[in-house]
Amino acid sequence: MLTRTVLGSLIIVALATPALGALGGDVTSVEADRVRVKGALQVMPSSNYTVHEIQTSKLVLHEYVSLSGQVFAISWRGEGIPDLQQVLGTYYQTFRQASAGPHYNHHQLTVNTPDVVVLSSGHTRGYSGRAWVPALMPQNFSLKDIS
Amino acid sequence: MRKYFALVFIPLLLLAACGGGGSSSSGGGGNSGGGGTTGGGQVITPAGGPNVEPIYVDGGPAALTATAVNTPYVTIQVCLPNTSTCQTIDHIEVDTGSVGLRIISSALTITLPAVTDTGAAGGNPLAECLQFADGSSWGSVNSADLSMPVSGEKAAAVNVQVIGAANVGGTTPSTTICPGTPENTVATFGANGILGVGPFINDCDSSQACTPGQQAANYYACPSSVTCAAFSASLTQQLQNPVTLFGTDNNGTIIELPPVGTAGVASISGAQASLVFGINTQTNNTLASSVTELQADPATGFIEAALNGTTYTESYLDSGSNGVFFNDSSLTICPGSMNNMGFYCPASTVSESATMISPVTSNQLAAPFSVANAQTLFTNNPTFTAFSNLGGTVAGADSVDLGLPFFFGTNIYTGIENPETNSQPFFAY
Repeated sequence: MLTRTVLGSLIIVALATPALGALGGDVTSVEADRVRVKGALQVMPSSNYTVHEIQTSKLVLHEYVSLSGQVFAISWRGEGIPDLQQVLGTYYQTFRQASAGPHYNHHQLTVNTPDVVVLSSGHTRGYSGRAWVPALMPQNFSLKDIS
Repeated sequence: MRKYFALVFIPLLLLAACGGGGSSSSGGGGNSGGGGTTGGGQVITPAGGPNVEPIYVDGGPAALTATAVNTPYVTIQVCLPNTSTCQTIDHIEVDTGSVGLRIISSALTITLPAVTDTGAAGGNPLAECLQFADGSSWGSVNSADLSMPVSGEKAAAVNVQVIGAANVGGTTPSTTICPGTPENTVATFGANGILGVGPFINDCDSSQACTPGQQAANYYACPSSVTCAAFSASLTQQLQNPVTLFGTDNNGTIIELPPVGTAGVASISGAQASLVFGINTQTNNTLASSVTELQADPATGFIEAALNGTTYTESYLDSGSNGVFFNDSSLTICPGSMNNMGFYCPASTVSESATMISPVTSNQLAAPFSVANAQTLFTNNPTFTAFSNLGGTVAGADSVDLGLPFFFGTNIYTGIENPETNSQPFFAY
């Protein structure tokens, strides 16, 4: 169904153009992230969205894809932090601008802009984070479902 | 105009205070005048040999562009190995949330020898990218003899990350090698360096070489300043927890900070607060019967926190967090340009109490804390650098992060893992 069709077109698109990265992108960018981190992919459908789980030995990345095929949220958990320039896609510049300036807290980061929210926390051996695009969230989606 | 920084920073305009008040839930109400017993029965050991170093809380080194808040610092001495060519460096952040000694290149005036891939002088210098939650630090791996000036604790040939070192590309490395917002200068890092005394032996892997991968610490071998290749750093090439390299007093630390009243204090001097090395190694660092150990998950260093009916399984104590960070959707996040800092601005001070639980032994400890209106605190005392009632929204969905406010008035023990004795990492108080 949706997944098979998407996987079919995935291969062609991935060879043709490098995807920018997941958040805000379409589901082909999920594959770009998977390839970059050399992870294994599992797709888990839910009510009005799908969770694409990319797993490596050190990190689990979740990419939340709406029915229209757009990645509206991501999360990570593990021993490190993914390359945010990759996984925040076109929202990375907004994130960098909003977080410019001294932070002085190496273990908690909250970036709250109208276009994108990025949360990152952790200490040695254990990190987690989430990012989402408010404008792309499906109806009745609860932030608690980003895990 | 004073700027405060905890999470993300937009230069802020302090708005009119909306009132505050309420009482601190920690220890006594005042600031203790010196080493000794504070109101709540806490004993702060005065600094001195063999194992007690002064710790201080102030606005940070001069190069900062904003005032640091709730950041504990020590002064260290580093020397070229086996020589008396040394430098004393102040404002090294004490961080139980990270592992390893790191010094910003611009703060280091002596040239330390490189740690190389072959271990021999002719080999390629090693470099490291370390990710923090808020950015990343890139630097060379060098060797120094470390000496703590007041206690006299010493460790030879300590691996140090010299952040922003020119020989591995300086302060703006390739973002493909070290992704993340760069924190390679004193002003972006918040200190002249950091003493990571978290509950692990090595920053990457304590049981084997650090294989390049998706973890926070990655090592590289750099034949030139612009060419670096991913490298599997051995156990002795990785950064080690400096405390584990002391001859004795090497199994943990105790951070002893006095209570801080509800309005905060201008600063805490080294005469008032101590960093004790070792747990149960001297008469001054015994784990008293009134203290409870919370063994942490040996892989992650997490303990659990039960707060307001929810259990947060990725919780911890952290001297490198400048607030108590937790989830409470009933609390207002500070408005306007302070929005991205994530501090809470409740109309009046709120008292919270978490129960900290060991996932290994099921030991439990109450963790009471207060959250005052951050805006009021900063407006009322713009020059203060220590606040016991600063709280904010946590970035980790499953986390309660007891940062430095929780440390004021309570001696906090951080026990380092020890595979030889089958000891888990732990927190205790």
